[in-house]
Amino acid sequence: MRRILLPLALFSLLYGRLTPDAAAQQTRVDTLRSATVTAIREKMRNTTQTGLMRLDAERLRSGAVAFGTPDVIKQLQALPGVAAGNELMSGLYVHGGDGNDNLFLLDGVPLYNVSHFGGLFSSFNTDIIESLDFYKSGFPARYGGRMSSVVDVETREGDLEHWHGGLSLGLIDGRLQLEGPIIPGRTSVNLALRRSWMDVITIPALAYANRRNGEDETASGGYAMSDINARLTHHFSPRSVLDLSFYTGLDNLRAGIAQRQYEKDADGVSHPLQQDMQLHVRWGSLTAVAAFRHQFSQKLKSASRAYYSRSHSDTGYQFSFETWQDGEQTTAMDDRDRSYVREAGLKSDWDWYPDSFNHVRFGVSLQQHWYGSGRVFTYEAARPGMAPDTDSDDETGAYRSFEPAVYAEDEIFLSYNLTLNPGLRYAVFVTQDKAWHSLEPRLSMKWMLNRDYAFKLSYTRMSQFAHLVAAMYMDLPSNSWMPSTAQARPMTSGQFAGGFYTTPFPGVTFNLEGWYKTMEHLLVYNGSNTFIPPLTEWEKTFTEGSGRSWGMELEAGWAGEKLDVTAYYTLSWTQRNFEALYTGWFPDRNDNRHKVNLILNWQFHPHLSLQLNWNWHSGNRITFPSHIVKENGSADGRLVYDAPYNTQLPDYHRLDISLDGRFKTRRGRTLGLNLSVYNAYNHKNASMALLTTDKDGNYSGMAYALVPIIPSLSVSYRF
Amino acid sequence: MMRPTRLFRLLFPVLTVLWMTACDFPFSLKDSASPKIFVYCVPADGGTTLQVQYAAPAYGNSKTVFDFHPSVVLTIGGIPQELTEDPEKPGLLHCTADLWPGDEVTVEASAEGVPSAGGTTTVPPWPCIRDLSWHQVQNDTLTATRVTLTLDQAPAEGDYYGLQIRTHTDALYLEDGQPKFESTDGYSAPGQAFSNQELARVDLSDYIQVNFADGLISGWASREPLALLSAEQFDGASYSFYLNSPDLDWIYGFAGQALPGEDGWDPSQGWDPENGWKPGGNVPDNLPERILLSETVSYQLILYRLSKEFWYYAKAQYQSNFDFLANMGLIPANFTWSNIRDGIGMIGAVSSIESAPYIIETQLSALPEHP
Repeated sequence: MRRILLPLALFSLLYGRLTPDAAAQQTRVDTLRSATVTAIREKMRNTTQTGLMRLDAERLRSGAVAFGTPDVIKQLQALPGVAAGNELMSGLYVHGGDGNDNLFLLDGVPLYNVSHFGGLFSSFNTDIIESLDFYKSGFPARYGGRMSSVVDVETREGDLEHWHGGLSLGLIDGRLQLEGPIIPGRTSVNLALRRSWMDVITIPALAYANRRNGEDETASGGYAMSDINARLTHHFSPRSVLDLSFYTGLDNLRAGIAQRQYEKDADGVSHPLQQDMQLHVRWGSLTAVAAFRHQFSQKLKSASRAYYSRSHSDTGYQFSFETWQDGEQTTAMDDRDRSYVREAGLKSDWDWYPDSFNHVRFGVSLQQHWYGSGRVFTYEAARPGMAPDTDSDDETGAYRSFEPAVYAEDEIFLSYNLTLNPGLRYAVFVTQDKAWHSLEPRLSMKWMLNRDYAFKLSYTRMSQFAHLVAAMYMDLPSNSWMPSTAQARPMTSGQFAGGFYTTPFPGVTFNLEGWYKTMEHLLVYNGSNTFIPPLTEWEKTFTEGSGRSWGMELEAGWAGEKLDVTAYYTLSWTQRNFEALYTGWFPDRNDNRHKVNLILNWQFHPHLSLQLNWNWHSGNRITFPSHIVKENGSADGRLVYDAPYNTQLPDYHRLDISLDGRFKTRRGRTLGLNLSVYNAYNHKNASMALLTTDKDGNYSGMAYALVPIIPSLSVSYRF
Repeated sequence: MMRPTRLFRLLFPVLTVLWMTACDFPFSLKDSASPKIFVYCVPADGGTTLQVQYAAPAYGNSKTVFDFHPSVVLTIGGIPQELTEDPEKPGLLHCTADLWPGDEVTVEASAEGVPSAGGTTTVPPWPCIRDLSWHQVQNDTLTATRVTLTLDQAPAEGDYYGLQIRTHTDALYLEDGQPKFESTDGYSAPGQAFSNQELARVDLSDYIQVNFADGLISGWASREPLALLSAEQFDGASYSFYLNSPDLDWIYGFAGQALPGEDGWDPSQGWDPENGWKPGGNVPDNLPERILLSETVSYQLILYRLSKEFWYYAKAQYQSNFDFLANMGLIPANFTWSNIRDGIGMIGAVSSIESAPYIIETQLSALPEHP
């Protein structure tokens, strides 16, 4: 198979060509540029796929933002059918998914780590994003490798005629974007930089604190994250375009404290007692892609990519202790954990329009993955009169896997009313002398009752060969990706979806969509209580189970000239079945029965607009003891649990307000001002909870709200 | 028009107060749980332990415990069996009927005001030990006994075992100048750690121990430690362990006891069987005037073959020692296992085999010098 596919991909990469064509005007989801909300909604109705939402650049940059930084993931979290998990984090639990089963593509390249600072920000810089396609169901055959959703982010090609850009300053970060022609009309570049500046505050604050503490205690620390996005585009001809895209994101967190005290020995001699603790965590991602698009004819075009993607984390903890109390005693410990996932791939996607009734897409991809993790631990202790106590541990685990895949799909226009999109994807995942085969049928159907009313149905099967090894429900750098192995089977899902989509009146949209999804071979951590799960033989500490989710989503919207109102409602059930945890189905922690989002956009002044965004959903679920078992005649009882996730936290709701101002300067530049208030009425939303008892011994819940009202201001300048 | 500085001055305290007030708050737990029957049943070839209790909702208005008189039927292969109540432990029932591998044991319990509950388990095959070897190992400071257990065949995935070490100690002391003989029974913890330091470094996922006293499982292995083993812990058909491993209570100090050497008397520091008192030993002032003259310890290995139900429940009980993080919603909840239909608890059978005693005798050549 390799002998056939590799030359085919190389041929496509080297000799493929592309141009725009008339056929591209047909219903498609991958070429739309900036558009109005109304136009987007109509496009959504006209696509064959269910569960597809497109967010354009304008929408991604607008709206209320926390800390003055627009965030792609948080925009997606507000959409129906999506649960957000922990507040302010980058969780994306789509149609009952697990959060690690979303395919994030940046210019067609899979991105494994999509967040900064534990999920506070996503890795996508909205300054350079052209559009985003978000699939929750009805996945076209050209997408594969993840179970629950596809987030396909396309960056913007630089301006071929003029240089321009922008500067933005938010509450905790700053951004710079610059684009323009290198060779006018042929070659352009678009560059976006982002960096947090929290360390600008923390470094002098720590210096001040250290000066007050004197020499006895020195604290150090800081956090910084940075992003660089770059896209270089060259038009060889109207039919041939070469894109070189690059992204790198890096987080660096360090904290330490050094303490010194003096103590006297038996002879009254004073000796220093020193203690030093240092923690550093570095993690990040990198992607690079060369894409060549070429149009062979009016009927045939191709896009071929060669890419590299990497995600890594490095956690280190050093501790040293030195005392002379009973002679010189020293203790030193060094603990380092590292993990990485690398992927190199070749992809070739082809569009063929054999006639006006068929739009055939087919393609091939070859991916090589490298997964690795390791822990190096050393410990040394020396005490007078005793042999040195030493210990060390050096564990490494590495996997290499190869994943070829082919797909084909055909969008068939059977009549004006009826469109079918059958597709088939076949992938093989080879690792550790084990080959996992996956045949994934995809089918979407659209039936237009008339110009304004459409029914859609879809069925898709998806497979996932990569597993996020995490012991906690938090986006920690210590989480690492591992492949399916002989013991850990690939996760799979099957999903039926269907809906009714209409624009009964001009500007009015009403969409109703339902889904039923099953998930097999899910993995959940079942090991001991730790932040970092064992990375070698990691399958041992995970247990396998299944999941299911069903529900409906409602979208109602009205778009006027200056006012735009959208309402989303989701009614859903999400359950899990893990034999090792419970006999039978139990609710998932993100089983939010109801979810409502109300969004109002009001352009009340030529330069000012207001957005109100109200979110409400049923509370997340946690596991509390449910019963007390008392032995006969005993006053004391013991708490027992009747099921996992048996308790619902209080309902979650908040209002975000955003006031956006855009003003023209005398030189024709644009000055932007955004005032946002996150959680405007400061509602206490439970992030976690504990069971407590009052003085009478009655049990009650104590919730902890971690995110209060967050006002923020950001300023931008476009030139 | 209000000046921005003044507006800020007005808003600042308001925002500060709002920020400060976003913290913890009580919330009412919905009274959705209804009373249930709690069933605990371990059918074993040496006698079946059965507990049936009233499980009241932990919160709400219905947690008053009323006089609970359940009707309990235990059947083996469909035949009801006689149950006798433990005179010292109300609610604890025993069944002495013989059990054989493959027997299906069912328990059904019903009572007024609660839904009937029940479950079924199948007695697993007897474990078969092909070889058992005991030998002494030593590091710089400690001596331990290493045991290697070899089964008749390598365990397959889904085969579960339990391991207990029963001890009988006969000791001769010199107490207040008079010889005194003492005989005690107990259990030691079989595990992978040689010392407390090693225990702190082992992967707890491979080191599951629960307390299996009186046939009842509870989380901390402080009384009668039962080590839980799956096929992953075996090296082919063999499993090796230390006879006197520190039990898990020490590792986090959750049992409320001080770690050896911290502030209590650590016998390994103060007393060396071969050399007498160590000069650097930490001897508390209130040490009784009691000197060990000789000691004979008899160790007996009990190997259990566990049903899948017993394994899951015992593992869940072990994990419940760490449930606080899951209660906070930070880690997966993996401690709620139950196979009782419409109730809570477990019915899970075990079968067991005991080894011949292994005896370690310690004879002191001379009376040690007391410091």
